Amino acid sequence: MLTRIVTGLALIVLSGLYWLQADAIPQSPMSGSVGADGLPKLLALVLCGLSLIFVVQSILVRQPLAAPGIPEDDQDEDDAAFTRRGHVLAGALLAISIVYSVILPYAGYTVAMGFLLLAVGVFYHRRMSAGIATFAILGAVVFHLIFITLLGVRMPEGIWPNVLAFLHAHTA
Amino acid sequence: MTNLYYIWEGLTSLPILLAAMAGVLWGMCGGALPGISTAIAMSLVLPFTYGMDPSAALVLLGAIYIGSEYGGSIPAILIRTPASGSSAATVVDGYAMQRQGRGGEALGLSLVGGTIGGFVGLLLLSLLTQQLSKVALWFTPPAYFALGILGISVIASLSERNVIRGLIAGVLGLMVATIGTDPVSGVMRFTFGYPELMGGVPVIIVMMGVFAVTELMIQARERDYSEDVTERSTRLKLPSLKKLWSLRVPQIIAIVFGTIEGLTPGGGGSIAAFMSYNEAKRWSKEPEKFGKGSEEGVIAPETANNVVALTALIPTLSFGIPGTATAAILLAALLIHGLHPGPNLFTSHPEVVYQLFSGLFLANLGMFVFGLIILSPIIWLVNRPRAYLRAGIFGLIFSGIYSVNGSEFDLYLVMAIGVVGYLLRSLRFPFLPFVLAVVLGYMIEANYRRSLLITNGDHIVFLQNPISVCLLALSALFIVLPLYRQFRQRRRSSQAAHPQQP
Repeated sequence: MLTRIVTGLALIVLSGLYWLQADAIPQSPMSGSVGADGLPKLLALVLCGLSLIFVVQSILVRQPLAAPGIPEDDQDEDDAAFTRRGHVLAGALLAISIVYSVILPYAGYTVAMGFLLLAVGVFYHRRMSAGIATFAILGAVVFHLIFITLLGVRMPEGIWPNVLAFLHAHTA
Repeated sequence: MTNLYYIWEGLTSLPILLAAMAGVLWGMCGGALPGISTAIAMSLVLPFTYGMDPSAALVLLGAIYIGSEYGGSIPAILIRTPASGSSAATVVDGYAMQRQGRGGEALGLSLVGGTIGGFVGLLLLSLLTQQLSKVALWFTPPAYFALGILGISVIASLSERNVIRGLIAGVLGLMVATIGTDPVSGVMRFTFGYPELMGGVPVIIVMMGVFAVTELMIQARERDYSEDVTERSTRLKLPSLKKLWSLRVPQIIAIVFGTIEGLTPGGGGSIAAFMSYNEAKRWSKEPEKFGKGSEEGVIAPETANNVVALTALIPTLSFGIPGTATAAILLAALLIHGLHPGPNLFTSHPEVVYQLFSGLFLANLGMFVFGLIILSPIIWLVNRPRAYLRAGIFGLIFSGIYSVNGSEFDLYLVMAIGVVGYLLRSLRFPFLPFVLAVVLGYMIEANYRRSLLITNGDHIVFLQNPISVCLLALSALFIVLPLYRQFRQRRRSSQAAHPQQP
């Protein structure tokens, strides 16, 4: 119940912050009678109202109804994932994704992809292995072939063209 | 008679046949790749159609559209990652079936449902294009606004025990949709100084974030579990005729909603799929199975998707009003080849229209055949060790996201949306209303503002339009009925828990 009340209160705060941001939207003579802040302010009010109802509901329904035929509120199979341990592991995967995004412009698409495949592979496999390393290398090459060669997507090249140019200039 | 000749010519023409097969294959692959939406798959091919015969070019794009609508359901079922909005509704029961080891069965239902939907849609397209397209003209801004509200109300009402949470998730989605340029005045809103947000948060980013990134974050817990070594259903399982007959009600519902949404500009496959899912649940004899691996929950949205893929072309060809973003690309292809949609298209270039119909027929057949061939390898893929599969999915998601705009900012954005999705899921808020609200947000706001411009800010405009009134009344019903049921259930259970003393 406490989580629900805290969630409801957080949503009320969010609606307040959103209203303040909407209020700061500059007015334009082309905006018409409603203005660019019209719908956002309406949404802030609706969210505030719904969140209040949510909080009141949470207080009134103090415990899950256990009458026959009435399922407990919102229990689902994902519950096992939302433990403290689950949050830590989810954060670890998110951290791998952030590292990939950070190194992408410097390492280039293929190398960064190799890192991503390796890191996620090791994360799930729980240890480094020759199979995971081979998979990461081959996988990076396959992704390069699909997205850069076949689809022609302009992926970041990283520092490699500069490095090659530097080496070329100094060896020539 | 001449029209029949054009149809026969289309069916027997090698370029049309090749365009249909290539289109449907690329569409299925593109649709199945997370991040490569139908629109991206079509737009990547658009430059190659310049030098093609107009009929073959349109067939190629139309076939991609058809293939992609089906292809999108493959990752939706196998890895809970819908590649397009229209396959988002399939995730719920399709993925539940996959987790029960019935992935092959779900894919079979999706394939057959999609093929049936495609043929019905094609029949409607060829019969109604000239006659029924008047419906699209009746829609004015207030009606569009009401249509968007109806879409969100339907989804919020899906979680019957949770309507308030559903509505909150919908409002949060609309808030995300307000990020970027104001649709009327062009004023910047909620961009926080990031120029990348000027165009708003792309829908594909939201979907990839909420579905794919969130799901992978949730699945991170699986690292602690031992690998399930039992091979899940490795063979595609087509439904028997008896099974298909038993699923006739959700299919009929899907055809009805697919037709209505296809004819309605702006409606699109997402609304049709979600509405069909909702109504299939409402009319089902076993509604409690929905969300837990219901066959009806898979076949209804999949049939609706493919009906829309074809019927969305009706307003495009008749009035030049694309019903969906993908139909807009087809419209662009028409214009590239100097063809102007409208009644004149049928009189000045009938061969193009009827050969397009023939090509789409071939594409539907091709979808069924290729579906049988390429699905099994994909199911095999899903049964590979978790470490490789998850790493591959990560690679696909981040490559796909980057390829949308070629922007590193999108990678951070998709992670932020993923975290929002994770929070929604962990706090047990339904995420489908959030996604649909983002999809419909622009349409809702743009038409809300346009409607009020007409009456100088007076909201009476929404009650003056009969379509708008009907749609808004329906929306209210969708919200009030589950709330009333919830209230009644709680009262009953309260009475059961505390019986009145005599």
